[in-house]
Amino acid sequence: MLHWIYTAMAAWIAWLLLEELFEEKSWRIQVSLVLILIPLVLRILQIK
Amino acid sequence: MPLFPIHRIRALLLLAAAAAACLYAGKEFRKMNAPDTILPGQGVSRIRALKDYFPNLEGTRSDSAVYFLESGRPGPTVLVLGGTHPNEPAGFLAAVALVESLRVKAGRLIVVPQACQSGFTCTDPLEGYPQSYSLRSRSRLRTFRFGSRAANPVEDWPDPIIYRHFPSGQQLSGNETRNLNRAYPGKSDGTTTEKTAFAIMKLIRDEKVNLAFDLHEAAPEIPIINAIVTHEKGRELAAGALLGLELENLPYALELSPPNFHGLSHREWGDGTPAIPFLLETTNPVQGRLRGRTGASLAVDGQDRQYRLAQESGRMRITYDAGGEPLARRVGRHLRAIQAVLETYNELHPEGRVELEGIPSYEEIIRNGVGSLLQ
Amino acid sequence: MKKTVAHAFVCLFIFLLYPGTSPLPAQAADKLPQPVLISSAGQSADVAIAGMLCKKLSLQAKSQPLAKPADLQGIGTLMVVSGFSTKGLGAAGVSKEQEMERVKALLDAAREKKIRVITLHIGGKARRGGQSDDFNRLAAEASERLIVVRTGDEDQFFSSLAAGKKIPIDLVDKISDAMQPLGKIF
Repeated sequence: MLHWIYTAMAAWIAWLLLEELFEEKSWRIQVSLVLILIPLVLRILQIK
Repeated sequence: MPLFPIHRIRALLLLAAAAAACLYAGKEFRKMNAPDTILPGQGVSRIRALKDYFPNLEGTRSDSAVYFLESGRPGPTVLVLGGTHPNEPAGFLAAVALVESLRVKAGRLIVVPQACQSGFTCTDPLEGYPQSYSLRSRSRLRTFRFGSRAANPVEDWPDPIIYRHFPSGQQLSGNETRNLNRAYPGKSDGTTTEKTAFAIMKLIRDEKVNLAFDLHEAAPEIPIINAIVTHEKGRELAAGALLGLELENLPYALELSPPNFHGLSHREWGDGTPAIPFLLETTNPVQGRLRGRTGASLAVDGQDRQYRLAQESGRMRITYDAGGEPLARRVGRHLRAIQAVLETYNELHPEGRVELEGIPSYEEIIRNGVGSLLQ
Repeated sequence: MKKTVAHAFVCLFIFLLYPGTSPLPAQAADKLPQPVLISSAGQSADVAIAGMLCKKLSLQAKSQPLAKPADLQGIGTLMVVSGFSTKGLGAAGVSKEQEMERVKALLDAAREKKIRVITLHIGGKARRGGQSDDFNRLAAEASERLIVVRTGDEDQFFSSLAAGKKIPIDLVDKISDAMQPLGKIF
């Protein structure tokens, strides 16, 4: 159960980051958002 | 406003880059699950696995190959365990060298190069360990995983706060739950690590092992380095071996296994089986707290500027040679120490000797490198 | 002529009788008696190595790391192997204080029974300083001879103690080299 709660949280944060990525105009912040996104994607896909 | 303003196109490009990064990182990470290649030499007569002693391990990350080198002539059975701690490569490689190069002329040898197979599938967090290291063997470039001290945390996630050893009830820090060398004699319905320990104990009993070696390494600042730790039963053999090694300018310290510290191979193998256990230690700068950059070259060449400075200053009690502590020296020490114990055993038991062939001398290993021991 | 020959024989006889000039009886007197009881001062595992040295020299010796005064019965020489080990103390199940008391009692009993005592220090630097030196000093001061592996005497701890107490000391480079002085004295 804990595992699914964790995955749901990671997915939710990833979604928020994605939304922000497409709205954000500053390229610096966009790069930062993508960097944060990478580990979350790996977590959600249960790779790493 | 256009549907694809410049910042959205940039977002898409960045996402593509992130996907590529995920793909690369994921692939690299998955490589840790690919087994290391061990090429059995002429001396190997059959290969079994830990699951043959404890079927519960079948299909798990903890099952590991067990190599038999049998002479067909009577003599004692010797067990050599490498990779109890996968971040101590000299122990693992010394065992691999035995599998790939050794021939047994009397008695028999059983080798488990990756005792904690699960620990080879990850590295320790925050240590900056290399994922792998490469050596040029007699025929090719060989790459081996550099694992973690303990079994993979995913096995029994999460670790308890306190680890209670079975059956003594001794309490240790929770992360020791995954440390194979705190888990003996193991438990058939315990954690993954306890099950591995249980399988190894069963192997020792079923195969009627007489002498058992557990190969380790430790940080240069640890006092028990270049040491033979043994159970009361092995005192005389270890003392004889130590004198022989000293004559070859390989000084060793002799330490006795504390009877009240449970879970260690040299204690529980000795107490729970007829085998005489020996734990051998060499120095490994990768494990040290003082080390600088921790790359694959540090694992192989053992040269670290910080340790050299510490050694030169003379202010720290460390075991570190000014020329570095290359794997060849550490593997060479392990192999010589095993042979020295067996030579002493032969002196004391002329009726049941174990005779080995195919292991070069310490000087030859230093001269030709550790790769010369591998196919 | 006969007188001269008789004088010569008398002189030779007196010469041989005189202990200081005859090498053979003097050497025999220097030999330490056996059997040897090998015990520890500090419970390091070096006792096992000393036992192996004695075995290689075919000495009549037995190892008892925790020997008590009663164990000195019938013993010719007590060989104390000094050096402290926490692991060793743990293995023996004794505290440092208990070990100190035991060693003191053993050395006192040896003195009373006129059993000869020698000290071996073969653990090098690892068995020096801190807690080890209490045991090293205790054993060395009660001994009539010291055999020390040189790495344990880099600060001249043993040599200056030996010089102060006029105890003969053999400094050897390696543990196995200790067989030479041991072979000479036994």
